[in-house]
Amino acid sequence: MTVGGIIVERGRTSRGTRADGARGWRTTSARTAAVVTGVLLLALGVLAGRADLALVGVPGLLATAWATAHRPAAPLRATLRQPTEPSTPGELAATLELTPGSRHGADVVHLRISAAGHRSTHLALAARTRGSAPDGTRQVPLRLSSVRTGPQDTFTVDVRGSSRHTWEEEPTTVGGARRLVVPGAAPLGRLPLPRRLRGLTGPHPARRLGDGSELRDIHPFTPGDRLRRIDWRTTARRSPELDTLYVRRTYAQAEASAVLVVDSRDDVGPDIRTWRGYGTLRVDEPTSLDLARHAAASVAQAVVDTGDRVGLEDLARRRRPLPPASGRRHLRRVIHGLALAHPTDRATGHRVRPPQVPADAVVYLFTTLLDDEPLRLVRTWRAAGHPVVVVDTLPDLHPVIGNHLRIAWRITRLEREDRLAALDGEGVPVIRWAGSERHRAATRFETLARTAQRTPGRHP
Amino acid sequence: MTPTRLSRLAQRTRNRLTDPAHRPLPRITTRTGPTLPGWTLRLALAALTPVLLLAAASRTPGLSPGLVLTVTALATTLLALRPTPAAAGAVTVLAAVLLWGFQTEPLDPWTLPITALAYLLTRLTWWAAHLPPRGHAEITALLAGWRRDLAVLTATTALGALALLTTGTTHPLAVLLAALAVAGTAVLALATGRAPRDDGPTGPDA
Repeated sequence: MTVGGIIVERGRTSRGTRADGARGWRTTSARTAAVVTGVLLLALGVLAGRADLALVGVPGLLATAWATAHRPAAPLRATLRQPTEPSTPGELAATLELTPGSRHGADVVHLRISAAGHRSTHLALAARTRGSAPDGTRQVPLRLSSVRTGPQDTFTVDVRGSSRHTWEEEPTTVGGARRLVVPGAAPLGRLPLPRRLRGLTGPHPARRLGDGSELRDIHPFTPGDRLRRIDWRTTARRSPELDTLYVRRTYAQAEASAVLVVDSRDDVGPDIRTWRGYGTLRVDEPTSLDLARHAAASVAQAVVDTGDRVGLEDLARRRRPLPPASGRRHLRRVIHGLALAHPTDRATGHRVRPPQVPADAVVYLFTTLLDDEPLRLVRTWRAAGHPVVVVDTLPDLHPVIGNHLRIAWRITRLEREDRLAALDGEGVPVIRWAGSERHRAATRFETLARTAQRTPGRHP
Repeated sequence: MTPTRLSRLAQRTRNRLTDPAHRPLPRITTRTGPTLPGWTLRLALAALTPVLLLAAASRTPGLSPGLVLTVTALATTLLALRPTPAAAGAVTVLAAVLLWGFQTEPLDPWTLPITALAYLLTRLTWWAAHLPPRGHAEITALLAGWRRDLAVLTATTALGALALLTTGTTHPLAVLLAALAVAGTAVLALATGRAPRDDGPTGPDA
């Protein structure tokens, strides 16, 4: 039947709530069954003159009478406490607080805990335990097994209290909020630097003269040189008469700029059947965008740790790029921007304009290389003189099942291998980040950095 | 069929069997006290039902073993598949009916453990009805209200002892009073069954 435009069946709406909106404690069919059974057996015993028949129904009647006399006085209150700050992967946790209200409240709490991508968990807990707070509040820690990053659905908990197996409460639902899971960062060593450094301060010695720690040469004193730069030992050796003073000249310090370009136009998982939007991505397997976020966060962390500047560009959302800057606060901004990166409608359909990259910045492109756009972007940046490092974020795929999928993947894989070969031929390093390759990424970055340092002409 | 085709077929079969997409979804981790899975409660219920019925039928002479076993199997299946309070009540009445043939006068003490078993069956049915087989019940929750249950069973035992002492003395007035008490209890039960439930302002946001 329909009541006020809402479909009602057996007094409940399609969402499981009572159609009349009533809430609170109510007796259950267990009470009715116990009363009917007890009365029936009592009547049977009286009619048959058999006390033993009547005795079988007595415990149920007594327990029901006891429970009816002790009607629960207070409702069960459930609150889901979730941290307000963004979570790191694998730490989507919350605490469920259960408050029975009074000693005559609920004695058993039934929970149905559900979360996207997880099995629902049914629990029956004692409302009060020895470790409960003085007001009877009990805390139940909850935790998800998700490795996904970005905005994630969290817990939805249906709570129902029961008392003395006779009284039950209308179920209430708590939770259901979405939380932002920021990517974690893996420790990386040195990273490739751009050809030219910028700025007047920074962690790297520049090629121009200035205040720094790396010695360039010994030079006769000229107006403008600082007196504390005079090298008295050299002066004494070269000019015993002190007619010429010699100063130690050093290289200036400078900083490098890196731009992280995240190709968030697609988000593909290890199961190729989900690539067209069918099926559900599992939460215990990282997708390409999760890998891209993790890799980009790791590079950003390493860049900021060395005192350099890092910026962020999102290929699917080009409106608000983060210009390069340094510092912990900026790092948090970058990681937050990474967590918010996600595919948008028709992002893969249109031609991507190469993001404007500051001069002398090294570009890190995080992409799956499933189409030709990344290759075109790399060529554009290299033509402008930017060193480019491509981080391959395609996850390790599950075995492909189905002939049509196998043929499609074979074609896609061959095209992708062509792109990788083209990048390799053009001298663009490609670092794979998925699976076991992730642990070798730090070594690959270190190798690139050393190669660039030894042979100044060889930049990625 | 060529060996190549056979190997492809074997590979496909292996792929389907080891398809990672068919793995069970991950669990939500919760931190609670020691728990029992819901299927153990159903198993206990399925074990307790024949124990109750066979114990009730064991002291009644003249019952056909085939009939008793059939009834026991049907009741066990009913409770295992539909552990509802009504089914538990029906099994309790069935156990009492099986007791009817007791010949021991005035009251067989064997009734007392059967009464306790019937009460335990009602409790187990409630738990089986409220907890799916894959759910978990905290042991402290299972034991919640054990003092009340102990008091109820003690009172029942006391009533049984009283009945044992007074069964031989039948008085018409006592029978009338008993009948009135049964009728009054029935009226009370029906009246409370139809009464509106507690719809007061409750809930977390009340």
